Amino acid sequence: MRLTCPHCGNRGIEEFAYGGDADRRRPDGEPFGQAWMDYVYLRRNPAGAHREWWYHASGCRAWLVVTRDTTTHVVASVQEVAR
Amino acid sequence: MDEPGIAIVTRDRFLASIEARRGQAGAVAATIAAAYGIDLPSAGRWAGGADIAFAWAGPGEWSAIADRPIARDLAGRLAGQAAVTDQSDGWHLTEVSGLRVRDTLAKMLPIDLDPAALPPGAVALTRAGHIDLRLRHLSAGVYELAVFRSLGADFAGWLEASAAEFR
Repeated sequence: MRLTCPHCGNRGIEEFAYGGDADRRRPDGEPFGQAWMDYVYLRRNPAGAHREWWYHASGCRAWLVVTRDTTTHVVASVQEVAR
Repeated sequence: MDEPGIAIVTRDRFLASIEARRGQAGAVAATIAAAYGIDLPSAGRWAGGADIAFAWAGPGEWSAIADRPIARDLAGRLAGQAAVTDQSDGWHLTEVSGLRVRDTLAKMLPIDLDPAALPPGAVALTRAGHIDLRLRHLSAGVYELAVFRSLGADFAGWLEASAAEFR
């Protein structure tokens, strides 16, 4: 798998670190309970489009949001997180 | 004398990191241009010469590479615009050249080293095996490789072993 970093260009996956689901939302303000249990422990495992964090650890050290199809590994977009 | 297959030289340079504060990248560029006559390079580039150069080091970040102590001067000029840190002791710098330099580097670097993709003036932030590395293409076929100093001995060992067949 390869990703096209908006700063560094097309690079191999060994330069990047996976940061998980980009659509999880921290339930700030919620009392401890099911919402926090879900946030901490539950992960979606979609067959298809998935938005996920990637960190260009061995490159420019930018955090990226990658939209990828988990069944084909086709990358639809790579965007830098707003600074 | 014929050009050697590979030549490896360890370099001593004074280094400083420059990290622009939020919204200050333009001001940093103006300060550097006024003080040193060098336009801060965009992503994947370096600018300057052997006495002082600035290499892109990430979004809003640059590395100054100089033949004299530079961090204090930079910190004074860029006060309020950027965080400047002396990195002179932090990096191990090697200059490599020769007819087979790209064959040597290709053994460990996962990037396209062809001059069409990485011409003189280019900077690549990448890795050599598991060692993070910053490469500068100084002039045609001459590369500067910077790794964290604590990994310098291991990196030099790999480089010498990889280059041995091209001597």
